Amino acid sequence: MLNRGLLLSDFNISNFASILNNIFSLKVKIAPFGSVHSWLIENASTDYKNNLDFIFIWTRPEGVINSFNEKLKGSDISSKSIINDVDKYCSILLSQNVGQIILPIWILPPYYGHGIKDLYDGGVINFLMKMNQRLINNLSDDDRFIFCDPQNWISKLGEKAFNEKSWYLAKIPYSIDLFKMAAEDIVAKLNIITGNVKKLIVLDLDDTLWGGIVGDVGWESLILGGHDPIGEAFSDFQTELKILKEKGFVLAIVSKNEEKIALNAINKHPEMKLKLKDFVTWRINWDDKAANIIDIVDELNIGLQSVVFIDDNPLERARVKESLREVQVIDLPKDKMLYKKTLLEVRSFDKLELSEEDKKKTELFHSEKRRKELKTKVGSLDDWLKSINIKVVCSKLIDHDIKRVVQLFNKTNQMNLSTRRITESELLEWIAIENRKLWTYRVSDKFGDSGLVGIASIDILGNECHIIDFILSCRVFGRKIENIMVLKIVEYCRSKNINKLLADYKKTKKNKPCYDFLTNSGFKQDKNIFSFNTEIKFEIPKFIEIINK
Amino acid sequence: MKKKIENIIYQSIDELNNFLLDNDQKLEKSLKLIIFGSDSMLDSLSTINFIVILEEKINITFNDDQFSLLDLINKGNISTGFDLVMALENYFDN
Repeated sequence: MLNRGLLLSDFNISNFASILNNIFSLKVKIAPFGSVHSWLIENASTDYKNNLDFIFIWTRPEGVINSFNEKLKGSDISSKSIINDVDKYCSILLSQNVGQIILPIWILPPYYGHGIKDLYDGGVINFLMKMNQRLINNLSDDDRFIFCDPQNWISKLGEKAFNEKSWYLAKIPYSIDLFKMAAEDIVAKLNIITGNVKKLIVLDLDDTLWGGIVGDVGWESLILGGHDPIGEAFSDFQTELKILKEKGFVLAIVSKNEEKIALNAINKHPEMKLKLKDFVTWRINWDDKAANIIDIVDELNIGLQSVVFIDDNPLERARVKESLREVQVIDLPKDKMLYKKTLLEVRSFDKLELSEEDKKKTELFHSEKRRKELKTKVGSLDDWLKSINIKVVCSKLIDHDIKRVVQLFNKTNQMNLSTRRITESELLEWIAIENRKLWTYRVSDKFGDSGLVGIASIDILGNECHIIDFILSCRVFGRKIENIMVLKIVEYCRSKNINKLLADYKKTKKNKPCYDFLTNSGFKQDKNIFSFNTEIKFEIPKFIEIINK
Repeated sequence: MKKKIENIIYQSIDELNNFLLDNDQKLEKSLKLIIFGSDSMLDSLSTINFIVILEEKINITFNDDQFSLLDLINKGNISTGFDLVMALENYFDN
């Protein structure tokens, strides 16, 4: 990273320096403000290559181009004399002996440019456009110069980009928010210059590339494309990802799904902009996403710092953020219509230079070593789950929850033992019979409350307890909530001196996750019937707080 | 009102500490803090930054874009955070 810089400006740039140093850990110094020309001329012969990585020269057009200043004061100035002044300024810039020179192009506060003739030849804005064009033309052949456009920062802040009060009090024309935005931009540019660029974009599927849970609704009912605003938003998001792929980024999938179902959706959905061939690899399973990313990084032989992770689920994002700190995690907004905007605002997707063959060769030699290092980085999923304070509240069915319970019965496909569909009245009728019990499960953790996400129901027949329904929303898969649900049933059986717990698994196209859970959690299997002796200890994770109500 | 003003002052101190002040300059988040005058903990630039930040927050919170903190400071005998809370309370009560 290039981090030793000098800030040169015709205004007070102290706040910008503080933000770069305090927030972005750069080591920048400030040249006395208001002395841009003289400083550049005096130091033109000085070789800064050993103690400065870059000079950042942020000027107001009227601060360094004297004829333009006269123009703003109302003088009649020709275009020729302004261009002449720009050329002189550029020649001073070209004489500097430093690695990189970063220049924001010139702007004016928004109270300029409202005049009828401002855009015409001889108008203030017309001059400004010509000056910027000349500046870029004069310097762009020299690789040391990097330009940035403050309009990008200003457009996000509007009038709040400028601060008249701090100008009059301290000669600071811009707000702190504008300086923050500028600092982010500069750091992103410095990263790109040093080759610290992203290469791999790891994508989730459900509610990220398309709307809906494919395992629940099937590919035919996904929200994608068509005459639907959300569908169009997902489609646009995919298009932008495809453009990034064309620019040289590599796409991969990490999704909690049944692989066959998810790949089928990618292949069959007519509105998919991204085709399977657009993804270099995928990990579609129920494993920890952080571990899956490690696996992909290892396969592709790239560094974690080259990875961007995009997922709609805040919990998955938090897991990756905390366990793989080098990975850049994009915080997708809840509103799907903002996905494209969020993607396009990511600064690390700036132009990618792929001229690093030597580095790749080195990486190949060190692949095995790095793989071992990476494996130790991810940390255990249990440790992480322990840190997020998961609480499960188990309750009997109450009136307030009936609608939600019916909804879960009728919408959940994956973690569903029998995929029994039921109406509200049928549910009430069913539960009214003695020996039948139904519990609901609410899940929360430090990231928020997932609400009522699980149902388990049983029927006691003689000395046997039959699990009738075992339903869990896929939103909370992988947090071992399933084990807590079984524990509740086991404890109930023990209280009634019932040893035999049975679950009749009714296979559907979508409920393999339920089968996988039963086969891996201590149940004995006889064809479709799973049994558990309740006298045996049922293993549950210790990191979940259970509250019985 | 008082609580609201105190919160705005604390938020302004936070913003100064988080973005603009070096580690050895960080301010105590307290109303005892001497903000203005010769005994102030803040250098001149930090004082100006504090005024600008606080004024913007007051403009938004009280929906009053005519309010000038600088005018208030110039009129009254304000030194500490406590003085500032009292002066702002009086201003908005009137």
